[in-house]
Amino acid sequence: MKESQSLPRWFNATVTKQGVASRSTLFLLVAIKTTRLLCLIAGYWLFAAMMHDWVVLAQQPDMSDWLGLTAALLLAWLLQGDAYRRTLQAKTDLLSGLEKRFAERLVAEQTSLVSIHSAYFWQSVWTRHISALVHWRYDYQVQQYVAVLTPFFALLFILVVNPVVGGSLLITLPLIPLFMILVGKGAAALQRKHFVALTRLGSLFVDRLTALGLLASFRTHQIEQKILKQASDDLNERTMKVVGVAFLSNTVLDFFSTIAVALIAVFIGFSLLGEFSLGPELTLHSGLWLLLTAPLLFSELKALGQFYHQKAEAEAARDAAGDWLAPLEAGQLDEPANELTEPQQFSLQLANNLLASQSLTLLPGDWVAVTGPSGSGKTLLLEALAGQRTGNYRLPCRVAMLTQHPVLLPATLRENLNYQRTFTTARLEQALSEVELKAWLDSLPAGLDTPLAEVPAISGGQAQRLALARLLLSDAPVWLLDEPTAHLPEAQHHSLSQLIYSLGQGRTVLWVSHKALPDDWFNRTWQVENRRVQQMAGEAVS
Amino acid sequence: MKAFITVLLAVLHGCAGLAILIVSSWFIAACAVAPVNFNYMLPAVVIRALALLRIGSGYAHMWVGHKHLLQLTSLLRVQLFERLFAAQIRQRSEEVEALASHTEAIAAVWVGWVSQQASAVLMLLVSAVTLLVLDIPFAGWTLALGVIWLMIMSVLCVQGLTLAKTQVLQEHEFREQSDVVLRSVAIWHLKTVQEQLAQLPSAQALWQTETSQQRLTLQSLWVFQGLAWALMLVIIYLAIHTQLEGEGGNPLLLVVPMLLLSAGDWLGRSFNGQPALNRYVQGKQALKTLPVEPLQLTDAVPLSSTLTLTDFGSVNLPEQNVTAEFDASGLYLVGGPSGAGKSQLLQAISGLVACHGQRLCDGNAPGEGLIEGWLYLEQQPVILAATLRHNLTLGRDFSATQLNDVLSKVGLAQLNDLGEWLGPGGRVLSGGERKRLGIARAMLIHSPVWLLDEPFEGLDGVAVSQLVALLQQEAATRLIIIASHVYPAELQCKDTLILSPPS
Repeated sequence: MKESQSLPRWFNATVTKQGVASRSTLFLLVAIKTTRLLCLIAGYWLFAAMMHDWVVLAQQPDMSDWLGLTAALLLAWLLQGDAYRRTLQAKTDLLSGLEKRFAERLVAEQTSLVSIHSAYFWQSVWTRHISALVHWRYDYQVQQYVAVLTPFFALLFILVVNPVVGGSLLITLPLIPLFMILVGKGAAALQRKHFVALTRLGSLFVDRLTALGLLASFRTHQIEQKILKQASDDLNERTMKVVGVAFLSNTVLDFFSTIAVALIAVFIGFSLLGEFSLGPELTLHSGLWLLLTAPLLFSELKALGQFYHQKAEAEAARDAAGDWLAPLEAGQLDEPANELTEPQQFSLQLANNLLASQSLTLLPGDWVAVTGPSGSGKTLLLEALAGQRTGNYRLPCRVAMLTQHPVLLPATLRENLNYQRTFTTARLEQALSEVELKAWLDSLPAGLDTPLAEVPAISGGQAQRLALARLLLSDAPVWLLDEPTAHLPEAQHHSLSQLIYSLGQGRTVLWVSHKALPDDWFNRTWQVENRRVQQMAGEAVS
Repeated sequence: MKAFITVLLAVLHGCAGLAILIVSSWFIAACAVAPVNFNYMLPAVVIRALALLRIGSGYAHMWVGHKHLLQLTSLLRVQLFERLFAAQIRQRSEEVEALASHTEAIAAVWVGWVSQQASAVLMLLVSAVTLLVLDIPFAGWTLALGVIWLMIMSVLCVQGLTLAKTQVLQEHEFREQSDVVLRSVAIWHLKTVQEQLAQLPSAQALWQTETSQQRLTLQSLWVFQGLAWALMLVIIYLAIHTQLEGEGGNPLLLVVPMLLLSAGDWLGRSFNGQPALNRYVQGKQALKTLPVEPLQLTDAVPLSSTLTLTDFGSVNLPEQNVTAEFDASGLYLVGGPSGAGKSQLLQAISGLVACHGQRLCDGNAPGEGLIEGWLYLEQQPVILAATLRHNLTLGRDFSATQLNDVLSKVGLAQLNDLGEWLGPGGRVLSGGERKRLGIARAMLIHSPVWLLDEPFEGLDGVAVSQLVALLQQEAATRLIIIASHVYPAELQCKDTLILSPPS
């Protein structure tokens, strides 16, 4: 993960591509929200004018002003509604866009990607990370622009109406970010000072909840309870030290906005009374308008503060899942062919030098033994050939893979076999008898429609045979076998291997196995060592 | 008490902010039409005092509110932990993890929701009462504003909570669905690419509800804003079209229109509290429905000759039916394929899961439940987020010599810093180290019965030999039962019990 890259830069480089999260939507939202505030400023002008008529001149306000105010407020109101509607729509679109990206990435990289994290992690990409990015994009980022543009326009108008008030606001305004940075630095330093303690103490509660069995076995529940109590008191004390400073950031903003209103009010009042005479002459009209407009310098900044947590959440999302939200390369999701007819000659080279090979040859119908010590990259080789890894070569056809752990879905036996598409009962029964499970099938209470969850626990060998039946039903011309018998006792290893051998005739097979297999089954041997694949010399050509 | 101070400070903060705006606008209007002897110093002082009050109460509200939040969270957590004495949670680990955020959400309702609503209600009440008492023109209109606020707020709360309930259900459904799909990743490739994309879980439904939730909040705010402005426009319209009866020139005329014009600003925050309320209700619900399973604790029982099991099995496996005898010392093996119920049997013997059948120690029934000192050592022993010392002693008193001694016996001499932190944010132990640490714990309390689940899984050859030697030695003084589907040849057992999967 590129730590140095800022969040907006990363987002623009990675996500904003191929029509996802276009910047025009972002700027349109900024424009609408800023226009709304301009309408408000205009509305305040008319409101102040009418109040002036009413209170100072003691006459009825102008109907034209009233109509103007109604129009300005109506427009502001409609723009606000429109901004809300568009924000939600943009969020919905971006959610779909990111979900599609993520789904495509999962399908492209399959096991090689999914197996690196827990199911819970992947679920949080959906439930947490994607929406965190979306909220950040359309709440935080939009508000960032608005929080800069609004004070700019407001100040511009204030300067025109009253340079004295405008000038003093202009001088004090830069103090706000200055103080906020100082406070932020102070809080960050405190946070760093207590970081280790905060992390350790913070995780204690969940940690002890997951150890209840241990605590009961050792009869130490009460001891841990005391520890937990002390730890949370300590945690609270340290947290308060940090947040006590962090809250000042908010207070700085509150301080300036409140004091500004108070001082402007007093200044205007005294000017109206004739106590001061600085700058252009003030009336209730301009005075009230100034009082209403000045808070706009701060209010959008305050609103940004409410979205502040979104930035941290989006950064966490980028660090956790950012890599998988980039668009795929063209062609990565093309449907592969259903047959392998051409001889294949290739030198494999995976991205980041994960795996490389010398020139390898694979003819249709070949049986290749893939050997090498564990951790040398045999699984990588199979994943690369299946197209799950970024590299320069993949087999140009469908493959069917069999791994150490057979996958059984919590569904009926029939649904398990019909995973790829729906087959006739006769075809399913034939496949089951080919993998020598006919007798087992006949013993099931509801035959093919027995839910696998209700079947008495099936053995590893039976489960692997079921998985093999799926392979038989698939029309993939190439089988990639990744130690399918690794977890089986010796006797079962022999019988299952023999079965695979006889059923796999006519297909192209690459077989990784640590357990011994007869040499004469294979016409090629590929040796994988230290992430390098080489073809063993002296192999027979069938 | 702190909760009320929190709310009080929030109310002060809100009221002071509103008062500044109203008093300021009245003040400049009054200055504009000031009679000769107008005392302008007092209002000017009041405005500045209000400003200080607002700033101070704002910071104090955040500080006290947060302190209260933290204290209440820790209180809730300790209470929950107390409730879980001699119990286990039958739930997925991430749902257990979520309890941390649930307790926080319950505590956060004061800062997140109650404060906002209380200050909204009180600001409305105080302004209505004050304006009515002072007989300020159009004062009655603030009552209308209050009614509008109350109605919109009620709709928001009711609908928001309904949506929140849907959201919980949808999230649950999404997890179930995605679990199955993610677990079957190894066979995705058998489908066509289009079908693979179609079968992937989608969080769209979940997001839609979340969006509806946001829409509801934004719409409430929007409608409220519109109605408040409309009220204000109506007042001015009336002012234009009715004869002023000596009212013109009164600076107090300004007050109610100002209140209404800025209503969205001073009442707007109350609409943003909805997520906090939802999380509070969800948290309460999660704590209420927590599937807690009580564990019965049984005092230590003498075991000097034999442990006899008759028609014995885990309550989770009604068909499990084990009859066996174990000497009070020695090493026994329970074999059989995975799915045969080996772990369940060991847990049932220890009493960690309930059992059926009979468990006799020297011919006496110790009663049901978890017998003190009988330890079920799981495949991956739990390592607490604590120091190495605490992980060994679990809070009991042992000397450093005792600890170092037992560490070197189990082959963990390399862990020589007893103060070292283990777990997140500290040293991470390997699978083999964890197993040994588990055994070291058992040795320290002189546990008479060890029930080891797959102790050799994931260990390399040398480590396996070391572990076998250790177990063999320790079995001289205690009963050790090992459940394993693969076991080293050098393991010498008194007896082997092979479980077959129930047929």
